[in-house]
Amino acid sequence: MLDYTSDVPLKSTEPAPQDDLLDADQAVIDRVLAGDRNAFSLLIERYSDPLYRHALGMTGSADVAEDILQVSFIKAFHHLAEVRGRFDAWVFRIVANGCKDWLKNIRRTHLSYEEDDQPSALETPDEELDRGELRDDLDAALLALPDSLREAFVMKHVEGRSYEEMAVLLDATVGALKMRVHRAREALQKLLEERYS
Amino acid sequence: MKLDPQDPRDAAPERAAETRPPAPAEPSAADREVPLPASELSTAVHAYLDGDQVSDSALSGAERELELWKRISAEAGKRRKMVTPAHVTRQILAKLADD
Repeated sequence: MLDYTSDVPLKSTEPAPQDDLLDADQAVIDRVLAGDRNAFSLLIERYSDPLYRHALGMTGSADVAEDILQVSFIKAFHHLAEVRGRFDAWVFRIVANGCKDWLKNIRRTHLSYEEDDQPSALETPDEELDRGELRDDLDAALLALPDSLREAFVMKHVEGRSYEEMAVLLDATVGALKMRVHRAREALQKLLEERYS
Repeated sequence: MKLDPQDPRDAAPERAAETRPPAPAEPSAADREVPLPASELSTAVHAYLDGDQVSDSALSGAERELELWKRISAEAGKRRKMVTPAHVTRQILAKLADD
């Protein structure tokens, strides 16, 4: 058996929250709704890192990711009484929608994005892929993917989530998400293989 | 009305059938969603990247692809360790306090 497993973290690193964590979230929500605003920081500390990584993966910009995170948590605070079920899934959807809105706005204001929903492998200048390290090339390749594929790839490979967890957060089936991740891999393989294979 | 011999709509049905290129097979709904490059990765490689058990023989011949994905996964692993900058949490709490 080829041994790539030590360098290739493929399994989920963030298992679904257990009941006690969900109860803990609800307890914090109850405190905030009762007037203890500072308790909200517990929810920020608990969930900001995976949400930040999601926003970063989706937008490719640390500044934008920070902005989206701020706006999303403030929105979550003001609508906290509307939480039904898992807080982490609820706040994830706020951040995910923030990312998609940002991408839509970018496409409206940048001619280079007007065309698509298509991966822009051939639209990306060759020199762009020839510069820099894999990090930059991977960012450029990810940004060339349609939103739904980028989202699935980022959640699976960057955030390290299981398909089951992704299905809960995105309200999609495991089969559909596997297909999105597979299609994202195919596109990335195509974009990156010449330089790195 | 003038007919355009190059327009299949103006041709006799038999001729239109002769000149019309064969209709491509209807793609599946999933394929219609977003046209992407043709598949380059085998089912075994996808299964391996999904974390499933895959035999050596199933992966034989895919060493180049696996090497690329090893590098991509290593880069993704670095990103997985990124944390929210401390000032972001402070700014959120400060804005909430101002409300």
